[in-house]
Amino acid sequence: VSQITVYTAKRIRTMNASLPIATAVAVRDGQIIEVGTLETLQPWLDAHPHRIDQTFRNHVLMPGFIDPHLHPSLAAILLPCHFITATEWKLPDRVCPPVHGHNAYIDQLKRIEEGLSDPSEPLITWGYHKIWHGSVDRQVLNNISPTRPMIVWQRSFHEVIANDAAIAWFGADRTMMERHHQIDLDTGRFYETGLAVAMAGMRKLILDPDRFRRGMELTKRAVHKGGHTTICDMGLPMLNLDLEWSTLKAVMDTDDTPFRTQFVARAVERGGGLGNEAENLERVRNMPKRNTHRFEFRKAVKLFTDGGYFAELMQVQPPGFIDGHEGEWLMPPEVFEGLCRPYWHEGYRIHVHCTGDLGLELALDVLEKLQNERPRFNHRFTIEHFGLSTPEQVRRMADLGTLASVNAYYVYELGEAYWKRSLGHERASQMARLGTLMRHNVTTALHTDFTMAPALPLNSAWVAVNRLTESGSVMCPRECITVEQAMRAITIDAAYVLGMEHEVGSIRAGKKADFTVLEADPFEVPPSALKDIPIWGTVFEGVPAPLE
Amino acid sequence: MDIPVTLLSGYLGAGKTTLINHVLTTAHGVRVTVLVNDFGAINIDASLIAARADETITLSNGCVCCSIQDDLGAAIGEQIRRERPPQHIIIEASGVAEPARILRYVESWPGLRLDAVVCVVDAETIRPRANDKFVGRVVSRQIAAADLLIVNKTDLVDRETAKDVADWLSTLAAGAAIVTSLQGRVDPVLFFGGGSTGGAVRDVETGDASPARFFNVTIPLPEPIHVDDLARMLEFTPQSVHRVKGFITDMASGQRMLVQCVGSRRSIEPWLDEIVQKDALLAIGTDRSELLTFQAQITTLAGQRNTQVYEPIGTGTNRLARAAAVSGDIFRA
Repeated sequence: VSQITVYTAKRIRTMNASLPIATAVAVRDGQIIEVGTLETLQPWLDAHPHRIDQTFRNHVLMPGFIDPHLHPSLAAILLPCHFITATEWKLPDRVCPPVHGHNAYIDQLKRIEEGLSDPSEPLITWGYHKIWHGSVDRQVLNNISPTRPMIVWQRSFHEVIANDAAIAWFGADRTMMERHHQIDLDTGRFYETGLAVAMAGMRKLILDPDRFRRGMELTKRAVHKGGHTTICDMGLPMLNLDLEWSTLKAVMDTDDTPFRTQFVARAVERGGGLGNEAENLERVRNMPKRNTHRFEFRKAVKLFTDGGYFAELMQVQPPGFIDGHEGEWLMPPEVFEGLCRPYWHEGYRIHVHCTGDLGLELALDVLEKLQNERPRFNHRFTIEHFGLSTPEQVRRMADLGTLASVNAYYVYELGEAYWKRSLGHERASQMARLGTLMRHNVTTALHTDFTMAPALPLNSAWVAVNRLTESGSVMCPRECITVEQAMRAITIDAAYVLGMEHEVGSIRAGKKADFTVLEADPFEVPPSALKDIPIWGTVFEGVPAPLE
Repeated sequence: MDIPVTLLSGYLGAGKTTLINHVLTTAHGVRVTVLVNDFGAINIDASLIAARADETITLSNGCVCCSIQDDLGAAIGEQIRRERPPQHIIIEASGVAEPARILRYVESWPGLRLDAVVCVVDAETIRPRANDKFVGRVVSRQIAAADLLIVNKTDLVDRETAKDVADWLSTLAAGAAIVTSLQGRVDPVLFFGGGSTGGAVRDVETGDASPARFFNVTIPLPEPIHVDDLARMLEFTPQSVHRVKGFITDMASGQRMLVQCVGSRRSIEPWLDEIVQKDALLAIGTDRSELLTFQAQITTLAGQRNTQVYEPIGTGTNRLARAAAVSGDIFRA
């Protein structure tokens, strides 16, 4: 048995309601022995060899933060790109300040281009949006560099703008591109169906195994920087199981990784349609064979109802969208139900991506049907994302025992845009209806769906508490939640959503010694400053891991 | 030359896969590629398969079945780049696809030409489905976008219901051709136009199970024809004539033109490639006498120096009544 280490701190916020505040925590072999004060720890310390570590005497300890829904593979593709974004992105290797206005955008792009040493290296920048950055076209990019492939990838991934060098670099047939109705070679725009042509050209770069691995290294640092000690890759595979798994293993399943990853398998692999039902079941059932100390599959599965929230493809109940466009189902409702059924009967935890209120309605209808077939308690059927909902649906969620894992960042980045262009004020302001979830005692986690939002739990908590948009409007104060509720949603309640509440998520005897070390107490700073609390680093299974 | 594309839509269980299996394995002399969503459901007799790879089945008759894999653009691009590109592409839309979104691919992709939007519906379940709170809207839009509606599984409902369904469909999809089918065994000529010769009306082989009996007639056009006249006449094609296809020579310009009609979708476009066939139109329909009248009317156009005014042929169909109401002046002139 190893020596006990006692960490003392200015304050320990345990997130255990029985003993919410402490000043010392004893740790051995990665496990918490006891939390309290040096006095209350004395019986343990008298009986066993120990040392007192005062590194954190000026810091506040929280349970290690948990993001129950992000996508390392998506991040590994995106992080090697150059970010020029309308909102601030704090990344492990850089901070990307908000860039507003056309000239500021072009200046930033020039700076990035001038900073590259290899004149032939393709430059892909992500985060462009016309609303903030004005019109960018082929000629503008040619003026920055006529020889380097320059590619502007739009914020929601739906459009690419390329210069002449990039158009040539894509390697597609020129005549075909000229005739394509959704490729405009004059402006360099590739959109909707034309985007496939640009993506085919970009694939050789963004899925290059070396670059993907470099992106995964950055993802690992981003996860640490956010103060996480547990994350969940909600839906593996994203693109290609072999490439993803081998890269994840090489980068994040190593002794120096200060966090663990739970993986939830997709019920249906991307590509190849719905596939063979029996093969899919076998694939999901066999995933836990891959488990290691840091990587773990449990009895959980990921399913989808409706389309993406950033892409405005969520299924919305009447009266629908202002412009009358329609959302999308990712599979027919009967197929969704049929995919849920075997997992429900086998006792799986089912996580369902639902973005619109009609998508949510489908998930609840199916859950109700399954409950009638085979009642289950403590099933932890979880609504993921939770963009649009009605108060009545939340009540029904509570009645059916549903959990929620919410992307609150929607409010910040999309609140105002959806209010003015998409849904109107009433429904847009009530997106991510967190206050109602709390009033109905629905266990709720906050997630970032990284890279849909920055992988910063304190930032998610800040949005949930303040409901401020990027331009500063407050979206529906009645749906704000308290700091206590928000902190639970990134610790103990996030653990509950992942079925890990007995292991992580709070600081108490017997749990894993995972802490997030903060420079200030989230319960004492003004709620508007939550996102700005500096993070010292983390302690993962008893071992301190300061940020770089 | 652009490859004609059929967009095949219809909700889950309507019978799209059965129809695809039938089209792929029926000898019709057209090298067709079918892009499917759910590869697993395609079930082709092993004796007809020449080669099978991960996402592609090649049949001994030259047809190919290929999985879309979440990337329709890539699947289309691959077909167009083939050494021997297909003569016809059928794209199977997923059961919940917005037809307009897939049509954008067909309409914007160089090398493709939309031939027709075909929607398969299940006679027994389509009406409740169109009112379903989750998929009612998308199902209704699939119907509305169709040029040709195939009412499948008519053996599961009585005659009256089948007729009600057809009438109701015609109100949703103005001008669409509507045919009935039992097990997806719709004659491939409805997709590809077929290739018979001669002027006689012939039975089209539809198999025992098909309740719809098709006839086709070839209308030789040895002399040029006024394109505007033809266009106007085609506006009033009887509803029982589901497809018209062939080549003509325009009287005014001397230009050879390709004529294509499916349901209410009509196109007459200059044909710049070499043509080996003689000028003729092939018409396919379910009513022998209306087909003969149609043949007679078209024949009278050929060689006419002056623009003609016509009486519409066939009576009593919804589409005709509506067309007449909209453009009554033409009829009275």
